[in-house]
Amino acid sequence: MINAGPLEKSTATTARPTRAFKLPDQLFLHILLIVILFFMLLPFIWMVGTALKPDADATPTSLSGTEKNIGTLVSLFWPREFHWENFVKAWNGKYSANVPDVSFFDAPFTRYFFNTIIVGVAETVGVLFTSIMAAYAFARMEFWGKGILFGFILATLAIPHEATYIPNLVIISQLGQIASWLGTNSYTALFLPWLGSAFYIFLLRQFFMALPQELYEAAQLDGISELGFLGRIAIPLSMPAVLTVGLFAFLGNWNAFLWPLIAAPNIPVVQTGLRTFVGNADVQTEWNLLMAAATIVILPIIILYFVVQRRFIEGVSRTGIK
Amino acid sequence: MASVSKPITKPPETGPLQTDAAFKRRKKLKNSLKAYLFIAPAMLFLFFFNFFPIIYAIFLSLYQRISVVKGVIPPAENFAGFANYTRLLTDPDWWNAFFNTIGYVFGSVFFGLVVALGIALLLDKVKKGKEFYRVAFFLPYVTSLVAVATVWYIIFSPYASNALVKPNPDRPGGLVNWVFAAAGIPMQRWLIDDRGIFTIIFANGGKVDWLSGLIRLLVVAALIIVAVVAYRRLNHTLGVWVSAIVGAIALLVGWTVIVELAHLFPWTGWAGGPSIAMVAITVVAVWYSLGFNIILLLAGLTNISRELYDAARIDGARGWSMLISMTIPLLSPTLFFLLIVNTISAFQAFTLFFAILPSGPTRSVQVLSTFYYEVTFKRGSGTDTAGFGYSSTIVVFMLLLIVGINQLQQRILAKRVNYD
Repeated sequence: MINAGPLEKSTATTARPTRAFKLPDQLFLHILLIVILFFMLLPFIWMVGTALKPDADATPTSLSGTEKNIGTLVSLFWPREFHWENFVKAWNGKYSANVPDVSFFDAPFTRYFFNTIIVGVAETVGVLFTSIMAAYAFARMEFWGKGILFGFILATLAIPHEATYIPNLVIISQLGQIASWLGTNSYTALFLPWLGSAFYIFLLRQFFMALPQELYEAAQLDGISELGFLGRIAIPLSMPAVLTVGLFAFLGNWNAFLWPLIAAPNIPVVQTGLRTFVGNADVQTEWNLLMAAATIVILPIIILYFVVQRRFIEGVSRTGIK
Repeated sequence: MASVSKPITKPPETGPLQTDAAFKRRKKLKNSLKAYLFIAPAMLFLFFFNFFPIIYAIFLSLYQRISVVKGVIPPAENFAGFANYTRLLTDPDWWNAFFNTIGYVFGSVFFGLVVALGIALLLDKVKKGKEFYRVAFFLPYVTSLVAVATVWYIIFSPYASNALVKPNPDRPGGLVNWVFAAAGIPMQRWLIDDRGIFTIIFANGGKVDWLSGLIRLLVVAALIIVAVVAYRRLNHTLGVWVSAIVGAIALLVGWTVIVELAHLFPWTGWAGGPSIAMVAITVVAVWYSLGFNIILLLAGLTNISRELYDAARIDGARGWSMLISMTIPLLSPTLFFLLIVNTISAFQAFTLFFAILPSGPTRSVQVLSTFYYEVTFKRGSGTDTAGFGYSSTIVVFMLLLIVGINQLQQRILAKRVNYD
């Protein structure tokens, strides 16, 4: 609407005046977008600002009621003094003031990160393995019942994860009867149910199907086996899709919350660990530490995001992963 | 692919019975076995942890008083037939959660798409630096929901040690109440307030001053005329800005009249609108999903060819008419896809509600997924409305709802979607 442009003028005159008119349009557009963007990113600015504040400014209890001054707008976001040690405190757990210093390896957040990364790597590798194999078979191989089996996979797409939690909990605890490392409160329990993914199979299959048939025939003439073709030709050529799936699998695990909470409460991961900073009533919550913890949880993803943002956005806009 | 098989692999003559068809069948069997090995791992996991759980949930929904299942099959004396289903349909708590969910889905999906469409249309017009905006607007969506919900929990905090403490102007607490306090608007207990939003906005109306109301309405009408004239007559950019500013003033003046008039109506019950807590959570949900929606809408907009825009412009299409008669129809496949994806994820929304409400949802923000969680893990296992049996019933219903809505949307909307 803003950029509709003064057509009447541009038809009457040369290109020069038109460009002179277009510039303010773009300028207004940028101003508008920057303002919208600022409000969109406000929570993050507030988060980091609060994380760096001294206890007295950040926690609600210490803003004394006798003080009529509620502070300036700037003081809301910009800390009076910068307390970087809040991040260390948060890393060492909520009540670090009362607790003797812990070594880095015993610190709560070290454990959360360790647990999350272990499970994340296992899940990513596992789900990539099962999905690539199945996707390849559905894309390139002929076999009996292919249509029916693929229909089954598509049908499971409609099943929300949440709906499977209780039955899966029962299954996991039954597996625990067989071997404790399979049961609840084991690392395996955190990723085992998510090792098969209809969506990733579907996605990778699209990519494998797009590979030229000649390539496949040539490989067969050379006597390369299916597995060899998959490993040496199909996967390298579909690397963007494979990496996108891996990225989203790992991120999905990083953001997992409810399943770790119910399946393995004794193995805190980053999201469930973050929860320990939230008290039941606001007074018990130390805002600056809570925000520091939230920053610690979010920061790795943001760094990862900026490193691979192109693939990230491409992956989302092409596949619609939600 | 069978055509390129090497002749060496063909078995040497095994008699005249070995026809070509038989050979092909054996080849296919061999290939099939190999393929089954390829798909076996994925199928195994999908079957055990995705498909079987649904069957098992249906099975469990026929039992009662099973909080922790000892063994896979619950004891026979707990078999209850359809008792859980009849209980569900007569459970006021469930109906409350059901209607809250419907409201949340409508609100978050509708506003999520409208706001995203607005921003995407703006972004589509940017010539330089589009990439920067894409990356920046997408940022909230990549961060983890638990962490950002925690941030929003602080932002909306009423500065109350618990729900019983009233907001205090000297201690505004979170960001939103700080802004309210600074602007002199009464602060709210955002996430823990069950009162309808209209109840609060319109209750401040006081007496109606009919004469001044009439005068203000006339002023509004005059301002609207000025805005329209400015939009039509002035050169384009200036016209848009003048009309936007005049329109905003008209809106403000009109709003004072609306508030006064609305005071005459009792905004109770359904008319009270969504609760303050639900509005706050919906704002967060819209904010979180914006990045996702914008990226997909932008991809859809980029696919619309410039020639079509130019052609429409020559035909005299401008602003709104261009948007409604051209852009939106051409964007309909993307919009339709987003509608389905957003609806389904809004139905399942649990993490947001759970993380932003540390002390548990109040009645007005109890949705199906949080209700399910409460029934499963919070209620005492002795009661009839607790445990895996009843909560499995809820899951079965949720699943039916999601599949049903999906189908409904496909039926109704597929006809109007332009796939060209």
